[in-house]
Amino acid sequence: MAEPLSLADAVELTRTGDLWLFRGPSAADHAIRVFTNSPVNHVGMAVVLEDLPPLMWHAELGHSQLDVWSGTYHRGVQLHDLRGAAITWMERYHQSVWLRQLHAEVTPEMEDALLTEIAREDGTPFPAILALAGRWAKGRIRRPADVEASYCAEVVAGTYQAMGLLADNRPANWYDPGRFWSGDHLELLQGARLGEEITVLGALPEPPRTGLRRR
Amino acid sequence: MRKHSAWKFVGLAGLAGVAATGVAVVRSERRRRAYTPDDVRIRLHQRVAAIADAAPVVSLSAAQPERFRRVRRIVGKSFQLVRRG
Repeated sequence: MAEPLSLADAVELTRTGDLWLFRGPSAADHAIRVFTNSPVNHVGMAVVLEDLPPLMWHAELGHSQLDVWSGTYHRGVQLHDLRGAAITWMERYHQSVWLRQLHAEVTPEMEDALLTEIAREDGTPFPAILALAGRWAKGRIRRPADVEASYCAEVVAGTYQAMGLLADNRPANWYDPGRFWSGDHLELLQGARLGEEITVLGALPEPPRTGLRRR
Repeated sequence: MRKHSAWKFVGLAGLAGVAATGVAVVRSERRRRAYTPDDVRIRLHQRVAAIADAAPVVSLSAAQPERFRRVRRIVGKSFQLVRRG
């Protein structure tokens, strides 16, 4: 039986490689979803190391939260306290949130690859919305675009590739948030598998309805 | 075709909802401590530094492109000849 999780339980449960999917009510959120043919507009990845608090590795336009890798506030590719990031996305951006658990053994080598990726990519600026569309279109025709400006799905795809979870026969910018939704088929390597979406409940009531179909 | 894929197939997944059909799988217990953001940053940087230290030392010949290797071979041979001579 599919039961929603409280944020506290989801934060406790999540492990490295789990996906956190977001769906929001803003015009930009809708545009991303329609354009990428997907019901979600943002994806982040859990980073859960040793006894550290769970962290969220993702790219976002906002800069309201402290990046725990750089120790600064900046836009673009960021590493956040996962709980804080989820609260920001739920309460400030009124996003619905889902967790997809990664079923795979994350080895120390994969953790090292992940950390190396964080050290390399953290702080990469987020592209302007038009540039973003251009990048996505370029990704579609499988031409690697400038790695300077990565965005959310690209960060997660690149990290999965570095960890050996995803083949690198496609450039990371071929991926969009919808590729990480269970309605798409993501071919993972090493026998890894992603569970289906589990609703993560926010502390606040549902955001206002927008007229589009929601479940 | 999987259950949500129809939306994707007809190009209307952007208007579809997310059917949350996942069932949470319990993971093994994890030790957790309270850390300040500074502690987290220091620990992360220490781990990355440890990866860099542990990285195997790549020998010069393996790291150089072919033409440099050839140059080194030639230089090396001449050096041997000079020594022998």
